[in-house]
Amino acid sequence: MPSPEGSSPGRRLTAYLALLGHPDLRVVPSQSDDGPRPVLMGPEVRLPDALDPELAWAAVAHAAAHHAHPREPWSGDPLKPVSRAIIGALEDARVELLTSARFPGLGRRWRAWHTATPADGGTFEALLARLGRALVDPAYDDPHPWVQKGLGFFFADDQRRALACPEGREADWRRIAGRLGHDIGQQRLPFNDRTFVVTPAYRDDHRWWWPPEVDPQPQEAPSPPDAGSTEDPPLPIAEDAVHRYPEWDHLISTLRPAWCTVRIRLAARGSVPEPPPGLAGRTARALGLAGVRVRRFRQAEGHDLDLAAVVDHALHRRLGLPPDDRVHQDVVRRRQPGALVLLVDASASTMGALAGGGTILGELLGMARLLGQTWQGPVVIRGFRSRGRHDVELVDLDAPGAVLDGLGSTRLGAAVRHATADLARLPGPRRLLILTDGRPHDIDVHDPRYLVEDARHALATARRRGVTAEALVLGDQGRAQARTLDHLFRRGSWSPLRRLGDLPGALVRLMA
Amino acid sequence: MDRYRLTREPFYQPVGEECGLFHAAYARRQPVLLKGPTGCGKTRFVEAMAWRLGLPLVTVACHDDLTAGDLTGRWLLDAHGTRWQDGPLTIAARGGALCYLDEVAEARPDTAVVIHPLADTRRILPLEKCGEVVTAHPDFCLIASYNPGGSAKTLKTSTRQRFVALTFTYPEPATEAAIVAQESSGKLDVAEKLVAFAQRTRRLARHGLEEGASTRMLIHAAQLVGQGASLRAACQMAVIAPLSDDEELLLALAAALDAVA
Repeated sequence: MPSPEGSSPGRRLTAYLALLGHPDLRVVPSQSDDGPRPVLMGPEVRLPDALDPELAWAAVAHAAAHHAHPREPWSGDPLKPVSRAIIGALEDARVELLTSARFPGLGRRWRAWHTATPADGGTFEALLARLGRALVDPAYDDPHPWVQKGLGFFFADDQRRALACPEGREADWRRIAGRLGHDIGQQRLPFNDRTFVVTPAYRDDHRWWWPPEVDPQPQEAPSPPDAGSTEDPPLPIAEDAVHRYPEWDHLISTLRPAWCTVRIRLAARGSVPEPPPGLAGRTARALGLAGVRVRRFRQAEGHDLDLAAVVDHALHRRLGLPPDDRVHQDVVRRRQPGALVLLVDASASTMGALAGGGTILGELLGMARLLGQTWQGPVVIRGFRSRGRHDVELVDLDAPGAVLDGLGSTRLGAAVRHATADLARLPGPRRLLILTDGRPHDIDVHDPRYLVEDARHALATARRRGVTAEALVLGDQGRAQARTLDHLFRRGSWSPLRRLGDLPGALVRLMA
Repeated sequence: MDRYRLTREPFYQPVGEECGLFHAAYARRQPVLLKGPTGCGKTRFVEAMAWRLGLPLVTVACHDDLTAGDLTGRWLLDAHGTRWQDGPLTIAARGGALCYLDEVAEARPDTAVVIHPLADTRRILPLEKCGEVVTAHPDFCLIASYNPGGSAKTLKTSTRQRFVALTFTYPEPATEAAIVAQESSGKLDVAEKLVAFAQRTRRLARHGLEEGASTRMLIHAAQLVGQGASLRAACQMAVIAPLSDDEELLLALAAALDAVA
């Protein structure tokens, strides 16, 4: 049901979980070893792609029921497979009945999937499904003595209203499962743990209850591994230097809170080559185009009449005063430099050589230097690179002669969020310009769309806060690459260039 | 001025100290800013205060095409020549009314600046176009509202700092249910169910819903129930459908309604 790429059902179901009172849970697609069942693991509800939509609602509500009525962890003492299966049915019924008391609609939703009847026969699996139905459906009567016995253990009264073990304690479940399991053994009913499937299909496979024989959960990387060369000593950390930012997960359409750690570091000192003569002047002229459109009223000339001025004109004539003939309006681009943050991509890929000599990063730094010198308003220049989400580095390049090496990866979203926060503190029109050689990537992310979507989200947020967000992309932009960049930065908000010398032209395309 | 007077007492259920604090601010004629989400009772509060003080109430719904002239007034042409027409702000300042600028952040910052001389100790309104300086009536007081979460727009610091501010939010569930029942002349148990559902929708902020269901929406739903609609249909029509255009959220909201109904 939740498709790995689009995942709007995932978004819908995650919102449903929030509405049911579980804003921390999220619905994600199944992993390769999950099989065709819903799987609960930590805050994730993993659903197979092909799950029926109605079944998906029921599965998600069932997951919410488990989280709403948690139980103590299992002791790890050995348990027979038959007992495990019985305890699974008891625990599922417990959480569903407790949840239905608050959400009667969920009880109806679940009961619709319980279809076991005496006609299904007397195998252990059939009896267990019949017991499962009798536990949650008071209207269903099953004459089988084993089912009746199970009901007697589970409920405290004959009307099947009060639960005998509302907390689902391990000792209680073991006692009941032991006695029901004993009857199954007496009847010599076979049970194959490997082929057994929990019913109905909306219920998860219970793998998260039982102590694992081997730990199946992937361990989070204890320390961020290095992506680039290890001989670079870490740059000194600036004061007030560690910030946390959320990250957008497009699969579940949710911001993962405090997901990325951004550290501000001071740059090393080095020499930056002077830009070619004449380029500064051309860049300054190109930047002159940057501005906001302003409608001017009461103009002597213009493409529209200014109606208020026309009325005033008539008024003055009637009042016997000299009329003002400026009755037009027009639109001009007004130069308002405002604040600029330049984000320079300093990932390992920018160490690549350019055809005419020098590196991509050298060219990007040259551009940043040139823009910093020619921009009329306040400018902040930051290099960014990352080694996984725990270590996104923003290097302060404001000082003259500040340089850095390209290493690690490109976690653009976190850098944009930090730049947006920086800009919020500055007055006037705000502009963010990203200087990069391509699309974001990082070592701890394998989905190629993930960081693109996160960066898009960060850029959209910046724009909503009044920041003009644009990018200059250095390198050869093929058609496919251009489509990705259109998607990432928005069409018309990025401009390609091959060399530092192309900067004025690229700025004109961007800002005109 | 009489056409700006309320004709009957509006229902307002205090939820804290807001009425006492408003009276204290009015006693010193301090401009009051009301902050809070849409439909939580800001406008009703202003009406109730106008009624209790026995003052006329001039309301201006602010929008981004609102010019300073729309607030202060303008010259008009008529059959006999020209005539000055006071704007709502001038009417309130001359006549001693409460002037309520609804959603003041929606007005352009340069428009909002015309209230500055009225909103500080000067209490005057210079009318540049007709060469008059209006001194505010002793009863005049300025009130403005804005919704910090519902709009990207904010107030200029110089405007904001002229006001004292009261923060509004949705009332506690029991109070909100009582308000919904009273306003819709409906049953309390229906109101309680509506409030419980609204509280769920208010948790969807992280999932793309800017604001959850407002008290106003719940009153609409309760009124529909009073007209014979089922609770579910009323919720769908008055709460879920107006809340969002996002198909996925609408499906989730409908399923959640199914769960509680």
